[in-house]
Amino acid sequence: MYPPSLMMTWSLIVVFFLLAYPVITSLALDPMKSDWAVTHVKPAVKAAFFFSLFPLFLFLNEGAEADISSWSWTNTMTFDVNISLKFDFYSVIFLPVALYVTWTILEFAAWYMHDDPNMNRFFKYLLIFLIAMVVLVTANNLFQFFIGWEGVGIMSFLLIGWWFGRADANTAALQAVIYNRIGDIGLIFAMAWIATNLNSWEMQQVFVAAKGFDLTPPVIGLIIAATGKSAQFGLHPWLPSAMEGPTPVSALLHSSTMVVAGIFLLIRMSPLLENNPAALTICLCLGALTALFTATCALTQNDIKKIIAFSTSSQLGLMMVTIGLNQPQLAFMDICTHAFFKAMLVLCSGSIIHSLGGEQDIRKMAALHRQTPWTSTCCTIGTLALTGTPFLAGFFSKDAIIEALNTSHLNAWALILTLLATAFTAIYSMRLIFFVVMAHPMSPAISPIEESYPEVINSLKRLAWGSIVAGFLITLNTLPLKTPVMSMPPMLKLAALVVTILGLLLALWFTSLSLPGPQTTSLPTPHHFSNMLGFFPSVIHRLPPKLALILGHTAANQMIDQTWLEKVGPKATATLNMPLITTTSNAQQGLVKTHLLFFFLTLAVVTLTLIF
Amino acid sequence: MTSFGRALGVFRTGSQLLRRGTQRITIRNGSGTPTIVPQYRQFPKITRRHVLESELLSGAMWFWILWHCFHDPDAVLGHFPWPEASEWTDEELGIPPDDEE
Amino acid sequence: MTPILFAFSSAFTLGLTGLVFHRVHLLSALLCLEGMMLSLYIALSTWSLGMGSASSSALPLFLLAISACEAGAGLAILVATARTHGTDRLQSLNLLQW
Repeated sequence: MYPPSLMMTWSLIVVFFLLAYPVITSLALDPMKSDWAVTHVKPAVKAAFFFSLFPLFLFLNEGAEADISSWSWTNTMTFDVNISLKFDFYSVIFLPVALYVTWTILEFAAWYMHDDPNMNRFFKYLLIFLIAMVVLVTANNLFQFFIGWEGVGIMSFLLIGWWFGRADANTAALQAVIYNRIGDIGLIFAMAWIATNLNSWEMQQVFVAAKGFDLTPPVIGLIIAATGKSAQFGLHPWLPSAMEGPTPVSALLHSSTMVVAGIFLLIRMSPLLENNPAALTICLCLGALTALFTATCALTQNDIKKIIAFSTSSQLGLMMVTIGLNQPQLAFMDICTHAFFKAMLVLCSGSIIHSLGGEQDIRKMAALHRQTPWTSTCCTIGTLALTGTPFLAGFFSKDAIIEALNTSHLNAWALILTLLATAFTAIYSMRLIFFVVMAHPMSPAISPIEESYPEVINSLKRLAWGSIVAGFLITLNTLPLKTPVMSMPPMLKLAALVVTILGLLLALWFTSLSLPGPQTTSLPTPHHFSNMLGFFPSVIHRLPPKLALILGHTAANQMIDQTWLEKVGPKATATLNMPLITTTSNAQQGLVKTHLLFFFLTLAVVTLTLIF
Repeated sequence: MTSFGRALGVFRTGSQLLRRGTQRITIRNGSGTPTIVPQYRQFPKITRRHVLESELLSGAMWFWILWHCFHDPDAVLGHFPWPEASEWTDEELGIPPDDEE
Repeated sequence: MTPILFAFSSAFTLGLTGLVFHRVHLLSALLCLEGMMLSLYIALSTWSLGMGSASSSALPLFLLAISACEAGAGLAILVATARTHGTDRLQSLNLLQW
């Protein structure tokens, strides 16, 4: 049999080729057939998924990893940039997960976007995004990683602004690009520091050469990059706005794959973070703050996709907390399990939105349990997985994180925030389920509710099975690199579960108080803080641009135009000379008085001269 | 608690559908692809099979949860008991009693 | 300087200043001119007292007569100005340009 390294390399190159082939052939001269997306792209991703299972099974069987260093791209005397691919534990497991989720989403998108005139282009964009994500995940050097990073950022921009005739979509796409760019500053700074101090961008060399350096500057840069890409607090508003894109985009990019790129960067670079307590504390506190803040915002949102977006942001905060606990493997497992149930939740919401004719407000949808059984079932499964119900996908990662949080020596503030965020997760999930699935119908009677299409049902089924068993399977097959703490007081062990159940009961009590119906009293003030997203976008999107525009206005208009080009230039001649001219011509009016004045003056001067 | 109500709902739905018979879905073709057509006050065309399958899936989920809770409760309740330092007696720690010299 | 000397020389100077710095009306200039004449008259009068000789004691009277003529001439100019310019304001006397 062939050696496993050759098998791995071969199958991974086949995966790349399978994904790139539809993109390259789309550049051909003859026009695409109208169902090119369904006949070319979806089977390509499906085949790529099955091919990527080879390396996975090789890894599970014998722990085979591969580092492929191929084409030497460019080099100076001392600095080499190659194309090198790394198929270690993280890549080998993430690749099948991402391809599985993408395959499912593409199948769903074939139904969701089928009456879009540019569906082929849409699928092409999704495929290019997938290629960029694969490049990012399998990169062994920071240059290739950066190529993938930028690629996913740009495809996110193009896909969020898919319906570009809508002003909100353009604004949201611009927001995504700008916030990602701010994060990119951190990444570029870190890359520059590493290139100048450690003389390489290859990750292995970086990890070895970094011992003995004070790594705080590059690590802060990496954390800023993760803040931008993974929507941590401070650079988070783009993620809820990104829900302007079509549902498949929200499912693929902004729930499973792109937003985890920031966390993935920190996981890859975790040897740099290990020995830097300042960086770990920053990750911890930032993640906890993000988790709680976005969960608070999700409590009062009325748009189903925004609730899911904030839920994603909250989970990303939790992943950041895990990085702060110095547990990159747990964070990675959270990434994988989160992909399944979050993508499923987004697809369920897409099915609901299509069923109700484009309605996204949860106050106008209810009682879908009887009308769309598959969607409501999968919605429930996804929500239970999200809140960490024992033994579903979310439990193995989330509960492990909370246990690690409870048993480590860290600041209690992050701990309390994370537990509160867990409770809030239960609350808004319960609110979502209640408004969408239960109670009495609140949608108009003309809604074209029909979910009995095989694409929808198969996609939801596939992700539902993933949400149920994926956590268990991944945990079963991974060797923990850090010893998990096995014994802790029972209250700590059950902390996550207790907090979730308390949140659930609170949510049930709230929903029993306020059944969906017309609002008769005005909402209390804390509601406004949560509903306006903590006033963060209202302030940050208006104040700095206003200040910048005022500065620009002052500089261009007042300083240059009015001052330098008017007052100091041409008008200065006038303003300096006019008083002199006026005085002189006033004195030369031809008055008798002036003549007499000079007579007197002369007399006085002569007298004084003769006296003294 | 809702699952019990839903289990009852399954039986009620199943019995109703058995009485009413299966309903077929009509795919309306504009261009051969299934489109969503607005319908006024019409219940969506859900077959018995769909309801059954979705209920089976959620049943499978609950089965998975409960089966693991039964066979693997350590993951939820704790793998090892937390050693309570206050319960350790002097004898097992080897501390001599106070009135010994 | 004796008080008398100081008195009429300061009166003369003030009158001169008033003649030169008159602001609005020509008549006020002529009045100052009369004031100057008056101070000169006093000067001449005290001159003959101070000199001790009486040979110049008729001078003040000559000065007075001449100054009356001069005042008449000045008033005639004023009247002529009022006839030609319509007013005796000094702003209208601005033909002495260049």
